[in-house]
Amino acid sequence: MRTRLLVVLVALALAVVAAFAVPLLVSTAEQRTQQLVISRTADVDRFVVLAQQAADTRDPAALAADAARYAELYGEGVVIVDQRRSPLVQAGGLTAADPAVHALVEATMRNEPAPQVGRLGPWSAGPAYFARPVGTGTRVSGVVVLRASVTAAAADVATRWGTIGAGALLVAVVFVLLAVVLARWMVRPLHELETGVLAVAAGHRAHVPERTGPRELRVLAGEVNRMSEAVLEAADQQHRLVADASHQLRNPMAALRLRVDSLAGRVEGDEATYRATVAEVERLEKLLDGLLALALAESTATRVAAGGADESCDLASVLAERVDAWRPAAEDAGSTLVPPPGHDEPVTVGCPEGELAQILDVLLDNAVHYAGRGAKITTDWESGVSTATLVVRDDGPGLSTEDRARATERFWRAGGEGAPRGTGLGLAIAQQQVRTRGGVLELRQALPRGLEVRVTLPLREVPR
Amino acid sequence: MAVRVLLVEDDAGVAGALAESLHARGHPVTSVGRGADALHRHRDADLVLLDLGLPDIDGLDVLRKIRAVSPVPVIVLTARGDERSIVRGLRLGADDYLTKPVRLAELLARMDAVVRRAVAREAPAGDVVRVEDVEIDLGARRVLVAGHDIGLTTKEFEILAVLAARPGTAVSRQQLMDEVWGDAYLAVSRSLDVHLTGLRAKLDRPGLLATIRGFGYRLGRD
Repeated sequence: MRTRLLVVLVALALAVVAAFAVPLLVSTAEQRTQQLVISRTADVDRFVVLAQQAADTRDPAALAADAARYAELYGEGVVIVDQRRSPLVQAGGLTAADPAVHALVEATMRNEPAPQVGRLGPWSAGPAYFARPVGTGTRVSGVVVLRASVTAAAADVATRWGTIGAGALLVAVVFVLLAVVLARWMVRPLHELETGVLAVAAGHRAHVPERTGPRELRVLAGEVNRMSEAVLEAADQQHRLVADASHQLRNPMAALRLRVDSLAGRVEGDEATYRATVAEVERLEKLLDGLLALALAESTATRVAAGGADESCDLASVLAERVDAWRPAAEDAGSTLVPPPGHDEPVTVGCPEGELAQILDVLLDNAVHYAGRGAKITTDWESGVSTATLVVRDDGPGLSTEDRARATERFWRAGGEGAPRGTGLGLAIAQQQVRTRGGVLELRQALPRGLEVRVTLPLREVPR
Repeated sequence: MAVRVLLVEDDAGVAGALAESLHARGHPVTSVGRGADALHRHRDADLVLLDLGLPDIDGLDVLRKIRAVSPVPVIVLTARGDERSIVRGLRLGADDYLTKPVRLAELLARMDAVVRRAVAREAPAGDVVRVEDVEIDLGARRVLVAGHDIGLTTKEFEILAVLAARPGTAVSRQQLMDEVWGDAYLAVSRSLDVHLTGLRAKLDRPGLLATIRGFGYRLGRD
């Protein structure tokens, strides 16, 4: 939009400058031409009078002296011929035999008007000829021909055109600058509004300046800021409610857990009910942890977006450590968790160690528990130019395309509602955490079967 | 072995459940609800179970004050599951931490470990440290796993030796880097990660070398 606005404004400005400058150039050139014509015509008239006197007195000596002086002074040629076309005076290197002079003499003898001097330009070089008959209208007794140099006049025109051109250029530059300022004044608030609205959409606070741009846009900016505040406050309250609620529930949960554990071995005759109770308590605990982790991940997102953290860790080490920690669980579940390849150079990614470990825990937990008995779980990483990708792959049953699309939603569980385990929060939390760090979490179909989860995170420079 | 437990917990429900459960397993429990009381009573206890969210003094301050005068084992019990509280607790000298809600079995196991360690602290560790089937000979600089030498590099051995000198105890990264490299710059920190990965792979005993996120490492299972 800004480019288009600029193009229109600049084109308009240049057209206006041209509309003023071009007629000015023309009239300047004409004026100077006129000046030349008038002065030379006066000179020619003077020679006509002198030639008339010479004819009357039959003494061309004074005329010749005058013409010679003139030619010497101005460097311009003068030729005067009598009625028999024989030259009376030839000065300044001009002769009657010159074809241009000859043609003029003939034309003037026939009383034809002298040719007009064309409008001069800075590039005019050829001389201008002026011719006048001597004597009265019907009786032509001779011809005066003057060859005037146009160099001085052309130089004058060039100087004036130069001045006008410089002026026009200056005005054009001022106009273009004005156009740029105007375009910015109008378009910048729009850009800021766009940024603000995008920030709100991404869940951040919008800071649209309310003091620049047209009044209508200033009002709009204020409204966007207020809307952003309202949206954020609502989201914030929601996060706080979840965080507070799950935190407050921890104490009663702890008491419940201890009491239930104390009952172990003391419940007689109804072991099944007891085990089911313990399982429900465990599920409640996990849900609580999940909700708190999600609330924490969301508040971290706000903090990081506000330019908070710049932590990093070695992806390969964290992966090796988490795989090491999960291997016993994998063995219990009857699957094989293959240790990742060794590494010599750290793979430093922009994500704190604790968060990457949490993300990995979610992925490994899912793989260990959903890939099934006999499954093989492999982990790896791929370093790109500016990102590193963590890969957790299993050869279990995998997920259908629709399930893969929904798996990162809150409370979605493989196997649908009433599935035996899990809170349905793990991948939602992991995805939130990955996004917060500017990364991407993808679920793919592994080949030939199974699920492949890829977490791409930005690489960081390692300070040496 | 009966352990005299001082329970510092302001939530009556949790305190009641804990006191009853521990009593049932033969541990006499004194329960207090305020930090100030904890500071008066800890001398008579073999172990302090300390909640961080207390009404009068912050639990971490209570911990600092206890540590200033007594080496009594302290297990921090907290609803704050965040890394920072845990790390601060460990730095201030807590022997272990548990986040609520906690399983009774786990609590008992941790209590047992902490008390055992406190007793062992008085008797110096020998030249050979055994953890499960891993035998670390500090004198001969040799590590046997299930009777076979696993061929550690110098740095890997030094790291393991620092951890083996305090088996079952959390050792901070800072301390590890200081003792093995003599400094604690970031470049060393990265290299510590790499050596630990190698060490874990050679030990091939998953979970034996535990990471305590944001703090350091511990040799031995929970």
